[in-house]
Amino acid sequence: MKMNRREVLKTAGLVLGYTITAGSAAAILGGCSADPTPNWTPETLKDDQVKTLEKIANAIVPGTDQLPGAKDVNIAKFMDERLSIYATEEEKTAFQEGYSSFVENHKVTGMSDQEILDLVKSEIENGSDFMKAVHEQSIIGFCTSERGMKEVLVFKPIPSEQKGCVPLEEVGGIWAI
Amino acid sequence: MYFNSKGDAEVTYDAIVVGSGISGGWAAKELAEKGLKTVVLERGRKVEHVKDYTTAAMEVYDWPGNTEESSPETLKDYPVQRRTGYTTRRGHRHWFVKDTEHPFVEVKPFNWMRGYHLGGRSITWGRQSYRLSPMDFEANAKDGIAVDWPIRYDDMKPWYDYVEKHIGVSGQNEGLAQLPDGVYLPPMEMNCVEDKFKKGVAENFGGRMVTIGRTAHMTGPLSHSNDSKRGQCQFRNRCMRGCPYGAYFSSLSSTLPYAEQTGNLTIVCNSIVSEVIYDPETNLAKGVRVIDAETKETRDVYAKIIFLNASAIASASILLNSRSDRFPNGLGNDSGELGHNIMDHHLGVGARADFEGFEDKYYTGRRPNGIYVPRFVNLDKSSEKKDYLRGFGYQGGASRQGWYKVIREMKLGKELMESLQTPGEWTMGIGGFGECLPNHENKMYLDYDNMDPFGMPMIKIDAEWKENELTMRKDMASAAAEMLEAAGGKDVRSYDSIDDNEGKNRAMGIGIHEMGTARMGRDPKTSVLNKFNQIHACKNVYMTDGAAMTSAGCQNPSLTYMALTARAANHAVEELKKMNL
Ligand SMILES: Cc1cc2nc3c(=O)[nH]c(=O)nc-3n(C[C@H](O)[C@H](O)[C@H](O)COP(=O)(O)OP(=O)(O)OC[C@H]3O[C@@H](n4cnc5c(N)ncnc54)[C@H](O)[C@@H]3O)c2cc1C
Ligand code: SF4
Repeated sequence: MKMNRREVLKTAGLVLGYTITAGSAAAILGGCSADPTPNWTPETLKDDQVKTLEKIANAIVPGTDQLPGAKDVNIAKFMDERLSIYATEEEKTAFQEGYSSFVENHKVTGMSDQEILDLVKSEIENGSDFMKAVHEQSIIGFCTSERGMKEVLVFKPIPSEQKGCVPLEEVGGIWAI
Repeated sequence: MYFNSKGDAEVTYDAIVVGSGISGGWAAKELAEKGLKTVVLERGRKVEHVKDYTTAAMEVYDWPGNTEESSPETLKDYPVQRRTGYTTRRGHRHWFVKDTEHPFVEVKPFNWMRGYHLGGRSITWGRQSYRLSPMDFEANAKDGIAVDWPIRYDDMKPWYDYVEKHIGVSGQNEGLAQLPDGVYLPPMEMNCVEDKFKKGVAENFGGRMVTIGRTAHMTGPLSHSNDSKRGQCQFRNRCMRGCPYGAYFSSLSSTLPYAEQTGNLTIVCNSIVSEVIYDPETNLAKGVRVIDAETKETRDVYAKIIFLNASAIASASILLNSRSDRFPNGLGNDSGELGHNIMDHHLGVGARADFEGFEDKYYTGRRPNGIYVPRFVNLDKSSEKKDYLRGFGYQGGASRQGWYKVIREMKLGKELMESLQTPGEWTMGIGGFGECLPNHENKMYLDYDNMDPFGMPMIKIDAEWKENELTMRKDMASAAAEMLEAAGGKDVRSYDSIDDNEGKNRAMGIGIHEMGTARMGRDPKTSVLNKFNQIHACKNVYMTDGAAMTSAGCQNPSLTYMALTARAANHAVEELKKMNL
């Protein structure tokens, strides 16, 4: 992450031919705030909710031998922030109610990943808005995370050229941005 | 640096430029380069090129919740600015005003999108740059609408050439009557679906043109300069945050630095111009009154000529507030047209479709540009429409669906990880930009019973889309769908979002091309400005922002403001030399 910013500055300095002052460098670098915080405390989610949501998200986006999955990107922190900062009161209530009625009927703790996936599928097929949201948020949270963007998608912050039509293999995946 | 502290601003200059946005930056450059001691009075805060583009290198994961969207709490300060759906994103929110700090009154919903800071909206503009055509300058006369432009395309052509050369516009000449050729840097490339669309449209609609967007980006070196003020476009498409390479035109990258190097420029920020001071002895303006945005103190600044470039509505409000015995209804308002005839471009209407094939093709680079379908209706007898005047163009593009597709595809587990390796299907969308007719009823005025936080009378805007625009929209939706269908699009969906959010989101202003509040014309009885953008009855006041527009065309207008400004600045300096001002 830091590398990319430096890269921006380096190239900008070269192209523009004027020196970017320490102050301006600091301003651009300083734009970068959060490295994934290890000591994170949720604002909205309770401990059991964190555990349940992580378990489901990890099954939905499991990663592979080579690639990271939801477990590697602090997905619950993402979900907590979405809920705490962006959700309206109605959305928050809907989430809490959806969660309660889900855990009344299901206990994911002992389940295998496959069992969880079967459950996710059947819940969504039965019209569960709660599960639809968890599915969606797991994917969004993963694909917008630093590791998801850089290691699973194709990340090129400074493309430097534009070509209208190239063979797919040349890119080799989905553009992260 | 060229920033003046406000302490010594109460002095006399050769020229005052009000506002530092797209047109003000041009006025400053031209006047300073021609040797006038020029002061730019800018309402907003100071911005330093590159250094202050603090979000330029941020990724979504740098913001809480991995999103660029603002929280509902933050959005409370932006009830109008948020209506575009994108202006209030965190990457560039700081380039838009808080409506709560700079209030105005919407008599009818009006989307006045504003940025008060050095550079104005030149930092956030979409950079699409098209010339008006001969038929645009003749349109009012031909249709008997409003008043005739006092100038023709031939008056403007050299000035379009001049500004395009300086700013750098990437595009393709196509030899069209309705969209004149220009001076272009290399065009950007279309992707394979856009190319298919282009061919399909030409084949099925008698050679109708689809071209690559013309956009103020450096895709090659500028002919006038290798002084490394500006770098070439790196295709990051994060322009609205400010470009660390200076690769697109903004006042900060392209005009103010040239004004500054003359040694003739002074910039004073936090300076709200409240009125122009008229001198009845000379029948000229002698200066402007300024409210300090921080201390609210007022002071006067004097000059031989004044360029108003605060943007159409703000500039008109300054004149309306400049009341004297000679001009009781506002400076230059003998005609009663000042503040009237607000125009914009109507948009939010078009169509989308999916395209099959090209599964093995993709693109590289985030092209900060789209494709353009120049106007094709009401050009001649064969394209004449019975139920509306004028026409529209489309902007759009094709892309492959990204990772978001796995949500809709309901992918899970291993299958999802695999699906994240291949982009989804191709979709293409085109959205119309429609011409709006000038109408005296569409107006803004001042409310002296209600003052804003700076002690200025509140601006009230009372304007709406009229019948011609609303009728045209139906055609804009169906013609878009027809073209996509004919070019092989599947599942074609046309849309018109005019009713979203009780009509507010697509109300006038949403094109962010508000203009026409002090129209140019031949007759002082029916227009505010003459053919050189001078106030008819107060010749040393020039107005060269969107206020001057007599009709709107359907092309994005800012290039025309630039050309008008350069032309007017040239005129002003000639007149000064001849001692006419
Ligand atoms: C998101 C977006 C996309 C756009 N895309 C395009 C596009 O693709 N093509 C195109 O042609 N146009 C586009 N536009 C429109 C374009 O930005 C405007 O047409 C253009 O900036 C107008 O130039 P201006 O000089 O009149 O005003 P502005 O650029 O708005 O500058 C006005 C300046 O005046 C200052 N000011 C205001 N009031 C006062 C006062 N009382 N005293 C002193 N200073 C004052 C402001 O702070 C500001 O700096 C877009 C705009 C936006 C926001
Ligand atoms: S796309 Fe080009 S102009 Fe826009 S920010 Fe990137 S380099 Fe600058």
